[in-house]
Amino acid sequence: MKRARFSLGYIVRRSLVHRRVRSLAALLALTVSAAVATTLLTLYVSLNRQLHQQFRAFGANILLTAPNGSTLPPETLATVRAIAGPESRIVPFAYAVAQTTTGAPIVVAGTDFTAARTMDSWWQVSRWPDAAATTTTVGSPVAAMVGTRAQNFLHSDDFSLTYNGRTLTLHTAATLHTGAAEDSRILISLAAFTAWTGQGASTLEVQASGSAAQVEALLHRLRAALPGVQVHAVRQLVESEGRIVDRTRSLMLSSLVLIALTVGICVLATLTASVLERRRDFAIMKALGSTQHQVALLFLLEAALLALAGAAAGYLLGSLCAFGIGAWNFHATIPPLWQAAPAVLLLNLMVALLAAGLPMRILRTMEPAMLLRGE
Amino acid sequence: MFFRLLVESLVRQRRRKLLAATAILLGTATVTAMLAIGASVGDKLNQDLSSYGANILVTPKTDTLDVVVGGVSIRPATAGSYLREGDLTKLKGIFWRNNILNLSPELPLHVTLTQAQSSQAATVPALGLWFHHTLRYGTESYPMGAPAMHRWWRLQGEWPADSALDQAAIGSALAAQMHIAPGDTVMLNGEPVRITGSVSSGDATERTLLLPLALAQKITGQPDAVRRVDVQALTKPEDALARRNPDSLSPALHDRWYCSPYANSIAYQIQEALPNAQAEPIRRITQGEGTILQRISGLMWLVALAALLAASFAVAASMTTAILERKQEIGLMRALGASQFSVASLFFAETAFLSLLSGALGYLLGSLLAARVGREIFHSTIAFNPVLLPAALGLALLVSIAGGAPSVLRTLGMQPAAVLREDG
Amino acid sequence: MATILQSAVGSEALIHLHGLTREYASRAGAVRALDHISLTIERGEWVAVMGPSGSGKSTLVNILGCLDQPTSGSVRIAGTNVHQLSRQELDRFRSETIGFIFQQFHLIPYLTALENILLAQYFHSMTDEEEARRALASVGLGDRATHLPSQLSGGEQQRVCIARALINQPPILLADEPTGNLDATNQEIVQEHLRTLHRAGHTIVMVTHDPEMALLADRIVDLHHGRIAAERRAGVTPQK
Repeated sequence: MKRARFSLGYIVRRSLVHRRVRSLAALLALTVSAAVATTLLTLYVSLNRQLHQQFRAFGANILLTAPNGSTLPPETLATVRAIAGPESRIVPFAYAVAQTTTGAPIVVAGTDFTAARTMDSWWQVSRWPDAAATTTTVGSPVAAMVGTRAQNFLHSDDFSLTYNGRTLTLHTAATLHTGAAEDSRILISLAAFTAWTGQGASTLEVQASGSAAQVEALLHRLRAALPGVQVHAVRQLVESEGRIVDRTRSLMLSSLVLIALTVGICVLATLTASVLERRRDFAIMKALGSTQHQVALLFLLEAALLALAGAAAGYLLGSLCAFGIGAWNFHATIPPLWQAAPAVLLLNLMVALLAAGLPMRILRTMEPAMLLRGE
Repeated sequence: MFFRLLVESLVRQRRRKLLAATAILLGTATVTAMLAIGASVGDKLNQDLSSYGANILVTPKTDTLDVVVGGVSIRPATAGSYLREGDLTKLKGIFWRNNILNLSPELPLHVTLTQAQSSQAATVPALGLWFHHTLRYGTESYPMGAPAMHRWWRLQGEWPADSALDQAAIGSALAAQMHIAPGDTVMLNGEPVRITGSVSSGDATERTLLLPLALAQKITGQPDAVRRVDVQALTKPEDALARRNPDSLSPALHDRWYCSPYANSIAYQIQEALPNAQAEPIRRITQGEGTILQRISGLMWLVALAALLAASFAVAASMTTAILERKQEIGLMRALGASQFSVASLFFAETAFLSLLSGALGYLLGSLLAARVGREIFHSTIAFNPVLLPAALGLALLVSIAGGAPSVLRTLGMQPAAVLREDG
Repeated sequence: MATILQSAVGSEALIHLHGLTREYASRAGAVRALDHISLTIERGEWVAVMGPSGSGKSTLVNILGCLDQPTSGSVRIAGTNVHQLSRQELDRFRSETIGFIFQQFHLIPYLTALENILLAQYFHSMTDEEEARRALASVGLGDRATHLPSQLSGGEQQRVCIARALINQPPILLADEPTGNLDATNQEIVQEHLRTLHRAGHTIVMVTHDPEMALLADRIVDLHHGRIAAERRAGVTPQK
């Protein structure tokens, strides 16, 4: 039998191919709507994470300090890293007030330059020391990063400082400018600092990414794990961050709704017109004895096919678009959101079926004779 | 005749026109709203970012070195030079005076604090501050002070009056340590002072006594002196020009640099206004704010761009459909002897009229939407942006003509008979 | 009159119309396209409906084909009271009972000649391509099976339309100006097909304004302003 060749699917295919321009216009509209929905959904879902990542630009949001003048136990860093997770950044600091050769007091800080470089992105440093240079060879001067203000109080690039009667020879390897307290300090590697003063880190600056509630929970865990250490959130940062992230999310959500609505209505209108235009087809089929269901199925099938194709193309396009925005704006990878695929498909199907269904309701109430006359 | 035809065509077949008009209207509205939001999101967020506090620090130029660890000054407060409190008025006279939102002068000192009942005494760090100071410049007055600068401070009780020489606020950690509560009277260097409130801040301020600046100046014996001034200014994110050294720029570039609200140029102008002062952007804050502003504005611009593209395609698709519906009409006009040119001009004139009308309405609707979104999210409205009107109209015109043109031209290219014979 | 006699028997006649009225709402008020038409058509009869434009000819055929509903009056076709049928039953009834031949052919533009015929089979029961090809060959278009309507001449389209109308062997054939859009040669061909069908026993109701065409029918019904102005045997001059 050859009857398998002639089916609703076949009629739909012929209809789509025959009315190429209209089909393409409808497909284009459905693809765009799916692409926009995918882009915005993907962006919106990863927005929280991306935004919180951006706030890393402000540096540490948690400070751990040893009580009055003591140093932190050496295992503190490992404990904090275990609790805060691998994504968080931690920079140790040790402070001492040393004397220059003229007897002026100056703050010397010991730190981990590699860690500080990632966290304190606002530090304007003439030349970051490479990791190898921070290990001190005995006898040679210690490489120091000198604050721009502190530099005015040193008489040459090579200088020496005294702490507790012990003199250390240093060499200005780089200058540091931040516009804040660091400008008045001299920074050396923590190892050199400990070798010189006998003291370890007294402060850990921790940067944890997340909402205010997440930071608060982290604070609790740190306090529980490290009794005797003062754990503070940098409130100035944590509070503003939450507000700005919230507002940006609301803004994105409004945009999402607005755009989705506009594109949806445009697509709906386009498809509705395209179906209404075919009222004569509808009437002819009725005259040939088709049932209401058969014609309805035909029109719905056609719309559903377009919606499906549009959703597939739009999902790919939208994921690509979101990826591009992530790479371009956030310098981060926004992976395709697979959950967006069914959502977008559903959205597209709804729009398309609504677009086909609405005119069907109108056509049903009209007598085929009137439709044939071209009313 | 042409105009009569145009008018007739516009008046008749309103359902078909309605589709195209709705599409253009919604598209223009969305694009207008998104562009208006994208353009103003920077300003709005800037206000949010001001809760980060000072972004410019002013200190005396010739100075001994600060010796500050963990926010506490270790060096005696008497050493070093000072800025003059009276000079601060001049900051409201600089080019970017309106961008200066807040000033908070500080005078650090050490005082002997004696608890009244137990007579427990300690030398504690103290800070002279403005609380609700009114800065007068010309006929205008501006409220300035530390509480607005440090919005993350939580106060229990009240701030001291700026003019009172017998009031102070106390850091919460210090209060707990000394068993002092708001309302208590303590002895400060032997003088009775009433504690009006306790401040929790999450930083070193919690271990500090906060005094009205006048009281601090009286104790140190340095009238009119301040040690540093925190400045909060609305700034523009740093770009390539901002990083240049102003002294090495050509006069034209220097003017541009000077007249852009970069943190650097505002600091430069502050330095010009205050003798012996060194003003520097606090890079942690300015850089951080810059990053956030750029990323979020960038995001909104990209979303606006996506909206623009999507709306364009949607409108173009609608126009294509709307024109295709009228193929028979085109075929008929051609059969009646109309030239390709006259049919095309009729259709394009009609499309232009429709898109300009819908575009204008869309602009209004979009502006209202943007204002609404601004009110909901930022609690401040987004003003009508007249620059967007020609942009919105131009876009509506371009997109609808581009959407309609292929179908019109294709139909015109066909033999009129073929068009008429073609069903639906 | 004979019509009254026939209605008493009821199921004897294939088509029985009684008091048929159809009004259209328009801005100027109701327009009455058919005004109390009563008509009986026997099985195997060929009736031509004539009349000037706007006399209600097409409305009558559309109502007979269940493409339109009368405002009042009854339509009985093959013993079935049409207005009692539900929508679904009506669809079924139409595909079982009626074949249409339209003045504008009304072929689906994106389906080939053969497929247009298959479509009618499809809506009726199941497609049988061999049978459809035979139907196409019987109207002389065996070599045009894969052509789209736009590639066929008017006469050829009308013949496809006839083949389509016949494919499900409906007892009633409704033709609305079947030769209205055709030249003399094609008119001849279509007339010949109709004559063959009539001989084969099909009931044909045909709207035409062409007196020569009408003469082929057994009976001519003249409509005027929605009323039957005259009924006559073919070949008899109308009495006004």
